Amino acid sequence: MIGRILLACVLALALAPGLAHAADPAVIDAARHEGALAVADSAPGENFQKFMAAFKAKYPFLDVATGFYSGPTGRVLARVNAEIDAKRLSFDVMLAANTAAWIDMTRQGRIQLYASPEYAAYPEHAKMDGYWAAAQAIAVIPVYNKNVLPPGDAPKSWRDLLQPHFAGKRMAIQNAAAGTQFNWSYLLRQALGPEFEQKFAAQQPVVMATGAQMTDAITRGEVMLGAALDHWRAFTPEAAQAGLVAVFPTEGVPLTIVPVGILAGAPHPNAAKLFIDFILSQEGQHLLDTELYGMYSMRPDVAPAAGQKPLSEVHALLPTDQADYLRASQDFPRHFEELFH
Amino acid sequence: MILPRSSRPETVLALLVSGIVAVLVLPPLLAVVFAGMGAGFAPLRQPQVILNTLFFGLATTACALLIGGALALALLPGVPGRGILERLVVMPLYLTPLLTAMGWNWLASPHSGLLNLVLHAVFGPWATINAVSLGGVVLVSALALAPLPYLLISDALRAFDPALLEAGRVHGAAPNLVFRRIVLPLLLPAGLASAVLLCVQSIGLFSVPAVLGIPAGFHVATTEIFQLLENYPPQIPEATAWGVLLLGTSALLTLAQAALLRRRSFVTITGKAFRPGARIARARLARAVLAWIYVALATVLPLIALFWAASSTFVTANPKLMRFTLRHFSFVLFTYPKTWLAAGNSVVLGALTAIVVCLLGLAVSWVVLRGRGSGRGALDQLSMVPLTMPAMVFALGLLWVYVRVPLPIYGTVAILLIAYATHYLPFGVRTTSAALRQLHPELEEAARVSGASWLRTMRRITLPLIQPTVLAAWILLFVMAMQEVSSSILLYTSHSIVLSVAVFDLWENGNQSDVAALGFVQLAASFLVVTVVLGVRQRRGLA
Repeated sequence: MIGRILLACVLALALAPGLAHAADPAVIDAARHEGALAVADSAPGENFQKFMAAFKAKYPFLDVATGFYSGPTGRVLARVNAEIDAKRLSFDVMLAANTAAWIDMTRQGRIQLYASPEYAAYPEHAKMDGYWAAAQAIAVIPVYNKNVLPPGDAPKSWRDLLQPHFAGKRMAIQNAAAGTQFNWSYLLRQALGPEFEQKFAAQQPVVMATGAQMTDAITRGEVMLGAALDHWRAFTPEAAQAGLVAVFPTEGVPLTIVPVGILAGAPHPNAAKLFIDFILSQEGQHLLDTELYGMYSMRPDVAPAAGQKPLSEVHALLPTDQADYLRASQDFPRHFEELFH
Repeated sequence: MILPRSSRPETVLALLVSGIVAVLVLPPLLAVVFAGMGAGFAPLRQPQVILNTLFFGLATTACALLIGGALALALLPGVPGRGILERLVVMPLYLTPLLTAMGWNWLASPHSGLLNLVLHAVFGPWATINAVSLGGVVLVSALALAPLPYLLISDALRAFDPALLEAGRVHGAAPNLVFRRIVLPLLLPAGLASAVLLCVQSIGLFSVPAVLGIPAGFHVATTEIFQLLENYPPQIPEATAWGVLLLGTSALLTLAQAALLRRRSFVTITGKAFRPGARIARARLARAVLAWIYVALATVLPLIALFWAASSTFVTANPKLMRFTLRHFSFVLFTYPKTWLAAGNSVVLGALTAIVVCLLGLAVSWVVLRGRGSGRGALDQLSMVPLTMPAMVFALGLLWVYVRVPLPIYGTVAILLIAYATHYLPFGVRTTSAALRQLHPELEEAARVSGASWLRTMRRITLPLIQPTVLAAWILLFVMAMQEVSSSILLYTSHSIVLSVAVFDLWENGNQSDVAALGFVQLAASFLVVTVVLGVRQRRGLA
């Protein structure tokens, strides 16, 4: 009996994708020669530095600090594309939470093809095979403060948000500037039909400049609930103490994914390969998503952060038609303007 | 092109200055204008935003001018506690509009604002101040910007010759008439300069409308530009079209100012005897109270709110849930990896920017005011261009240009220095030219006639006389450079990060209490440097 369990463990370890793929020694040698890696990243805060430190511990010969740049998604995209336009790309790897931008840049030939063995572990709609895959996934859902809104009155579904007691500046959404808000709008339109968003807009939600500001407003009770907030913001220690509660609506949960990939013309392509293999591995995903950010990993073999539902138990919504998604994203600013300004 | 007829150093200076200004200003301007073509009418689709912007600009200018002018008059000699008040009323410059707006958001949000919690407890829920509103955006912006007109107008008052007032009185004019016919007209240049500066600054202001305006549904040009630039692909032509609209408005204002001032002379410092400094003896206490009210609203209350937020676990309407903590301070001081590097970069960049801009500004204003070549007007206008561009759009122009320049400066601290120097050049030119304008050329002519060379005249006559103004300009520029966000966020790397970017990143993405704590670090850094500089000046007996 014990022998069979041991055998099973050994087999499981051998087959676990995160542990199975050892890096190609030729790539490591070439990366050593390159000596550096420049990452442009949109993940907020200091946690990403901890992730970079873990990568650096694996490959201590790489200088990962000098070329590093972090900022909100829009700014990362503006900076990277300005460099590509000027033919002076300094970045190797980009991590940015705007799927439409990734689709567009891949079509323009701005993303490097690299067949990382880790891609196999990712579901079809969370990657563009060989170009990029989701390093992080965020459920964009209603969040309320149980000290402001009694849990009995809290919504359980998206359609609950159309109730009269949420009308008139009681809910908050994000500015159209965030790709997150487009993704939310697009996926809910598919799941609930176009009339949902019309009726939701008629509730006159408050538009907030950033997700951080929305969290502050919910915590303070300036709004009853945030209708489209990154789920991890409700699971930080402060948010839990302040009484923030995340709702996973029954009709489905729009997922914002944060793709990672290598930029075409990257100055350190081999170091970039090592980074992609690490960030998409089971080990990298566990560190980045479960431990550091409390976000979801799209890998089925990575557990969610403590206290969070597994992704398999929420009805996750992801875009399936990339061409349609890209087209809709280009119309979105005007669409948003008409509905919410 | 400027072709002075006179001596060589002046010619060299004129050519050199024109060249530097053109190289700094023209490429980003042209990049922006080219990008803006093709979307020139985009803003017309949103007439409401245009109206909002105009209203916001005019209302903020009026309020800030009123506050700043009143402060300048209130703090004339004779008011009790003048020394300390003079320093306190400029504190909002250190605090930055972003932190002032965040402070007022925590003070006067309708449900959870500190002031409202007090008011509700005392008077009941009907007594509510709502800063998240149109009025809130205008008043908080005016509070944040009022030090600018205060500085310009009180500078003008300082150089005021009381002989002019005596002349009025000797000729039998009543005090009211003296004020109306002598004081006001003499303050016209400073007042107009303040109004134009305020208008341009307020229509270019992003942080206050973003914090207090967007949640109230009040959108202005800068919040539109922000949104257009953060979209993918960044809607640069549309954003630039808004930028060109603001640029046009600002250019018109600047031209109007020039036209109004053209036919008059405002020389108050001449070679003849003069005793500077106007005095008002009346209403000392009322004047002090007025100044203290401003200090309370613009500095003390927002600081209290920021400290409250920075030292609480989190800010919420339910005080029972909040705990005192130093976690946010310890986070920004010891955990947040950017703080110390950013503080060092900010101080060095701020000091260098202020030196470069003062020198360049002085050179430009001297060439414009004292030089004799044609094209001086063009140089003056060109040096003002960065002021008329919304900072966010100008920053894009800078990014495009410096990404392409085949010099090893992209991704270094040097590119930030160039960006800052360009961005703040107008402030250097305006402050130094205000000083030069009040200095009658006869002082320099006397030196030249007596055989002094041009360089010697500058060193022994002109520079010493305007030195106090230049030092004041240096401090103002240092403080402003410490706060520059718009171009820094596009140009920095992990090694060249500055404090303002660290604060803004946290505001966009992080914990709001951490922003308040890092705001204190930023405040402390700029305050420390200015105190040291003022201390050195005092020890050298130049105060």
